[in-house]
Amino acid sequence: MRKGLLYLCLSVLLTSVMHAEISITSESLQEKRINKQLKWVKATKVIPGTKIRYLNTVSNTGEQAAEDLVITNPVPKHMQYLEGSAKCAGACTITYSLDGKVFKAPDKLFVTEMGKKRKARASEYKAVKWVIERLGAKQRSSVQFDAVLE
Amino acid sequence: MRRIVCTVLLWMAAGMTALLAKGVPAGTEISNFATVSYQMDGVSYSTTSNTLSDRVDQIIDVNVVWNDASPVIVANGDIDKVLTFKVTNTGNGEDTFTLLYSADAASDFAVTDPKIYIDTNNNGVFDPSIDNEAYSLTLAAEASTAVFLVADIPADSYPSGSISDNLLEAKSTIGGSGTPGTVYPDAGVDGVTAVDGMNGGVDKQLGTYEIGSELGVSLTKSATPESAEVATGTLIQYDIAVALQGNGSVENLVVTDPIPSGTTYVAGSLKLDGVALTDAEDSDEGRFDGNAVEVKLGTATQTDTLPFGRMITFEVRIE
Repeated sequence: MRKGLLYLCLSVLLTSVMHAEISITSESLQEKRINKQLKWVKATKVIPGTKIRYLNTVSNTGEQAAEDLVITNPVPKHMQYLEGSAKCAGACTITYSLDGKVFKAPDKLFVTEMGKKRKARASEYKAVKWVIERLGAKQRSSVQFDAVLE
Repeated sequence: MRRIVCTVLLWMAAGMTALLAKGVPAGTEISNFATVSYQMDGVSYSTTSNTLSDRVDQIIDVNVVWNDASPVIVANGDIDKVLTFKVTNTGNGEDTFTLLYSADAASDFAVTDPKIYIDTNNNGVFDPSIDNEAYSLTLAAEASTAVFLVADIPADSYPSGSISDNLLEAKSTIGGSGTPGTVYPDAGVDGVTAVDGMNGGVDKQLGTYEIGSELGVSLTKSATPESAEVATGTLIQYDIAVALQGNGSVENLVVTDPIPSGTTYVAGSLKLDGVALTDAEDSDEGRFDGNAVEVKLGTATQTDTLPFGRMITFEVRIE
């Protein structure tokens, strides 16, 4: 069942790539102490409490610039988004969503709890969105966020 | 349209594993993907990234607590006395723990024939005919079970208050190095990496037996007013007879009696067996501290031929 799904996704991916020259790659990294220094390496030891950095690299392999790039990344299930961790390599606008559909700035996200409205906690974010105005031909850029495994 | 269907199905796949209240279970797949949409020459495009799948590794850990609220009182020569422990798998995957008994060297006496039983019927109480003697215990993540240490008390003559400390250890069979962070590649559930947690995958706890006192101390208090009519200024003499029930010794026996409200202690009236004691705290047995009289009787011993009995007296005056 899952294998079939993967093929389906791959075929969809290939179709998309043929359409245009923008690709996006997702990596998961974790901190590791190497020679007394903390470095981000490929995530291999993931246990409850582990902080994971999701790094998405967008590449424009074409000859034309792309505009209005909107990158969305649902916060994976069992992971809690870490406040203030979403970043991008250049200039971008970052918004967050509590339902994966409506994206807003942190101070405009509210949760109703026992009849009372309160500001949403970062750990309640379900998705992150980055908007980049332009990615030139033969250019690449990246966006990232950190989350902790429950 | 096809892309959207694909995304939805992936979400469902990620959500199939049951979520526990504390700690995602070992083996759970954590999936991530991102999408990008953009404009090129006024045409909208969209593409999805690869789907990452990280499997949750196994934290190995165990917690042992001693569940009896206070030392289990025993007598010399008792058999099958029970100490109750609770063993909890505090890791995020199933594990089998080795159960090990050891005597603590600091004890006054050592038990004999120690055996470990698992609370097979999960009622928290040792049932000799139901619970199984076992030295390994398999527990699901977050699960716990009562474990009983059953041992005999030597037929000796340890005095009351003697204690026997006994250790129950539970150690993971996947890890259990004792050093947090020790890694066991592919050793966890479903072949994930296993890592010793905060306790290093092993924990132990002391449980205590104590030889009980077979003696009872009894105090009999009586009041004798100086006149039949009790009024302000009347003098009352109190007598406290101290006795032991049973044969043996009681250490550090102290009798304390607060002066009744509405009365004033008569200075210098405290006596033990008719011998006056000073009110000050000094070399004699008694004192008056402003609120109560206190008499230190030290070690009290009674045998069939030498009965124990002391009499404390003091006077108060009604205000």
